[in-house]
Amino acid sequence: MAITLSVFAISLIFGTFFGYLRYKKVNRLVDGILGIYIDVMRNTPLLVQIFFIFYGLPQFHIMIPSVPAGMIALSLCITAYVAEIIRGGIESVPFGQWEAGRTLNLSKFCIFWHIIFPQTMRNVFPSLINQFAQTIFSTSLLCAIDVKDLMQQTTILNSRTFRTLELYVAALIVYYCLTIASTTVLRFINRRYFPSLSRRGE
Amino acid sequence: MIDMIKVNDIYKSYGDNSVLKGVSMEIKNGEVVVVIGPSGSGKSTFLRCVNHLEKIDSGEIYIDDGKITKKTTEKEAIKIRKNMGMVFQQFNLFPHKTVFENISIGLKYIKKMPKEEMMEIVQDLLNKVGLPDKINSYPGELSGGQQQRIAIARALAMNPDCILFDEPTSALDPEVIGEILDVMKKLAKDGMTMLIVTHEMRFAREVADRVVVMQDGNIIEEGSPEEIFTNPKEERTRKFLSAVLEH
Repeated sequence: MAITLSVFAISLIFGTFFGYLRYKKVNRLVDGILGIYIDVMRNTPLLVQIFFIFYGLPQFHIMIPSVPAGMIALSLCITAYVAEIIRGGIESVPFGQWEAGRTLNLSKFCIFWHIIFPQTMRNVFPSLINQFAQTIFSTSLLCAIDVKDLMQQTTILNSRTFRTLELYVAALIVYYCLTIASTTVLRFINRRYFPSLSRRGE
Repeated sequence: MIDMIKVNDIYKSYGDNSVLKGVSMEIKNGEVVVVIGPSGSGKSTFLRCVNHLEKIDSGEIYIDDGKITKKTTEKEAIKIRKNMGMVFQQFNLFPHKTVFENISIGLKYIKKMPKEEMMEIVQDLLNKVGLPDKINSYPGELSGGQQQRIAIARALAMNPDCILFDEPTSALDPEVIGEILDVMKKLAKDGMTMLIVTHEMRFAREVADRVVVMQDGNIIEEGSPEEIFTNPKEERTRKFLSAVLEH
């Protein structure tokens, strides 16, 4: 769970930043690199990415212990997904909002931070909740590189006791509870901070 | 303080589609100029060029000692927009902010005003547009007419000398158009310089000091409302007016 939280926090920060860069198309080179990065991450299996970092990089004498390696792999991948969500969210804010800000002479940063970004978050929050659930699930892949997560523990126990069915049912239940609990909390936050904007009830 | 806006031979095109083909105009302090014309004639684009929401391809726009050319950057435009407000067809209020926050956003982030002072100004403006009790509402809770009045109050908050109106009543139900026009009339009477793109011919007739008719990216005729509406010189103006006034 600690891995999930930190991976998601990292992805959220970089994803937001990259998503903004993708939207702004500040620089062709930066945009091209980001485009390739996001494309590769979203179109290759996560398990292969994890193996690449953990088993592949040591060939270049880059040795990363399993937990940080897993976190790097997951963060790289989730960041790409978050960046796309954020970019779509920014694009969904009507262009007139930028123009209204400009006619009031607000600075670009001010327009983005106070006008565009809050509306972006409102638009993408449900997608981010899904992404968070995906992040929880993807940590289970880390058992393949010997990270002692829930999945790995289950596998170890299984090899000791051979109570396969019971153990994996238990694992499923734990994953289920974790996901339900965290997304429920997030949905509550969503309703609390982003109430529906139109209350006229027409 | 804006003494005069002078537009000199501006051109603007989007790809192959040239929208403004050499438009020139002068607007004096306190004058109310209404731009009419068929859709696609370049009226809105012209208006948006005046405060540099759109870049012009050639020509110049003089606003007192400031000048817009094709090289003007967004940073330089800030000085020009300082004394100029704008009201949009789609209101463009910030939906996640209350009426108070919408109107005071410029005061807060640009003038860094303390809250009590902003409160006073906002309440004053809301009285002016006839919505004194909506200060804590969200835009989504208001009708279109009320939203547009809030948008006018927001433009007024920065204390401009001139306001650009881009079809302010086109997105509204007919029964609320009057309330917007009343607010605009009041502004005109108070001496606000106004450049208005509209389809409201009656309003143009009543309030405008000057009416400008545009078609196909050119100004085809301008004059007092009296001249334009009762005795237009151009055949094209006559055709346009009879088409609009028939309904």
